[in-house]
Amino acid sequence: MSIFPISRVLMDAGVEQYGLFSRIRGEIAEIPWGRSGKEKSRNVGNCRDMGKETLHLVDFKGDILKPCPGTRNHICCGYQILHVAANCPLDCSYCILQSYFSEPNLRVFANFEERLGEVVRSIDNSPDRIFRIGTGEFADSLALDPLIGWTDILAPLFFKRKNAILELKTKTANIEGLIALPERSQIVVSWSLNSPTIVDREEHRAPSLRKRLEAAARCQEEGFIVGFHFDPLIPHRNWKDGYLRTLDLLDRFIDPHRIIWISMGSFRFMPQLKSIIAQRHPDTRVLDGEFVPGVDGKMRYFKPIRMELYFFMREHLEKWGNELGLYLCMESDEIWKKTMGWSPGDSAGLSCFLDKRVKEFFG
Amino acid sequence: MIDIVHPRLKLPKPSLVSLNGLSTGSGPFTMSYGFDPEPLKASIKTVGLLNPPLLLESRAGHLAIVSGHRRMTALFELGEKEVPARILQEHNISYLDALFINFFDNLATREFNSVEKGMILRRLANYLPANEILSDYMTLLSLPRRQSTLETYISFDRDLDETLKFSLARGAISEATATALLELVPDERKAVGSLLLNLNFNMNQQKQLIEVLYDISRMDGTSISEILHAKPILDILSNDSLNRPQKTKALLTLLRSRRFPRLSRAEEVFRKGIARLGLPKKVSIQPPPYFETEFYRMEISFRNGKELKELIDHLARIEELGEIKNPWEASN
Repeated sequence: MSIFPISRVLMDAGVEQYGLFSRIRGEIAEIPWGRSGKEKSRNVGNCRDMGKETLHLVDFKGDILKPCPGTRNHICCGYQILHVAANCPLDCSYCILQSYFSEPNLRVFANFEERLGEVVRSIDNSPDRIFRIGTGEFADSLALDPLIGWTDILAPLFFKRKNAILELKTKTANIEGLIALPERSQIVVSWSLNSPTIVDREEHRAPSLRKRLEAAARCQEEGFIVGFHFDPLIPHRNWKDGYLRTLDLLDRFIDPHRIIWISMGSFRFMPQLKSIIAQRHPDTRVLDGEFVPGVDGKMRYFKPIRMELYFFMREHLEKWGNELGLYLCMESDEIWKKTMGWSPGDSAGLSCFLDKRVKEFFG
Repeated sequence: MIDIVHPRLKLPKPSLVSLNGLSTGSGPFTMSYGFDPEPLKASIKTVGLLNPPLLLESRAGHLAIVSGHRRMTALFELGEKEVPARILQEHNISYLDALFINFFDNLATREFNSVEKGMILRRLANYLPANEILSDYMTLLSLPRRQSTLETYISFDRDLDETLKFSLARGAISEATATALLELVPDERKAVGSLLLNLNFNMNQQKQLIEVLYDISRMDGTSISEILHAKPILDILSNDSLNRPQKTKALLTLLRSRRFPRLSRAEEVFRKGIARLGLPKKVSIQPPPYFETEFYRMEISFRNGKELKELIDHLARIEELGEIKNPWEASN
């Protein structure tokens, strides 16, 4: 059962034929279930309600596997998104999903299991390519796992496929489904981390840092390879002390030798997100930074601020571990060189670096 | 087959109506705002009233304009006491049909300004559910079918004061500015609005001013009125040696340096550094926008190759050119 409250379920026509329907029905039959009908589009820009307590079982017709929507002039990691759901029961003030999707509710693609053949074929048709696939771009990979059972369905597809890994990105401690899996091969479990101030003030409904890191430590003990994402890095009062406290916790719980990668990205957003954040989270401080328009149209911190963030984090992370697979998310070649001391040059170069990490850890 | 004549609309013959006691302001069915009556007055003076206005008489005997608000205004300003008009009776037509008559009559012949679109949507909202307005009427007004857009346009008509409404209708403030102003409380909206109009901010400056005021207010927990009444701002506004564009620039620079201290400092350091180079007047160096990319730009204006060579030679002799760097690295 999910730790996040679901107060009703909406169903698209025909979803009863899918296996996931019976599973979810069996878990939460007691709450109201109804037809989705023609759900009115969320009033993006004005509406505060994202339907975070409504589960919508969708008969999804779009692309189930697609490349991460990187933006021009920035180096992208080449991650492939396995699109199994949209929206998230957590309510982080900075979340880009607030303006990314026009439809409300926790949209779970009821037919994803039936469509996994498409994903398997893509992987098997390109045996020389490494597929880094994740479900954590448009949803939290594990937040609803106790209810949906994504890991049970997805992980076995990857155990034997040496040219692919499944990355499950989360802010939760919902790891029981993972721990119960019969194998650990080709699975990366990763946590989004931040300074304690940002976690407490901006990551609403999300478990504490300590709980996340305890879950990560348990996964390491259980034989999983883990990753971490310091994204979004957000400068705030005493941010250096705050991020150092997080690194202290990381040191206390985690073995740096079993980390496949740690990414860093600073807070960035399309301009239309600003008013949505201000409306939905009137007490937030994430909009206080000196944001300037980037070459891709997204708002980013003024360059020297970003550089200071990355340089500081890199310096301290490298004191902790010298082979952490550190990389920057959506930054330029210049920022890479000036803050990381090297650059992959372009997105293909970064993909190559991360693919190499996959081979090192999974053979 | 479409009915050529509206089934419930039997147009009566025109009769003379006294303009005394007939309000020429916007009524429940009219949707003209911020128009210039002079061309219509000239037309009526030259060729007369070609098309009599359409009025609706209530059961109590009150007259309201269904169609012809501009004509009535022009006739009133021309000093006419009586006008020929067709008068519908309340029991013969619904208010919604009266509204449609005006809407479609205008839609076929002209474009609506932003306030007029708001008036139309607000009036339609009295009779129709939002989903019907979104599906059937937004595109007729060249608007996206979004609830937020519907609400914003209704707010233009309902919540802006007359000065701002008029400025919006005449294009002195943009829709984006009006929308941003609607997010402020009425007193602050009035203060910012009058500042924008008094100093004649252009559209881009309007957007910048509102955004920066909003941000500072949110970040510092002070009201916009307090920000605008701070001494440095009042000093700029009361400085008689500055003209309006200079005051606008000074005001934006001051507020921007408060909102973006590091960026403003970098711009200042860069500007001073370039000024110290003593570049020829025909040469300028610009930083990348917001210093975001790596590449600075030099622009050289020249009449011919000889002049270009002279300028390049001059530049080559400026030793300090080699020291141009990102302004935040300048002290390293």
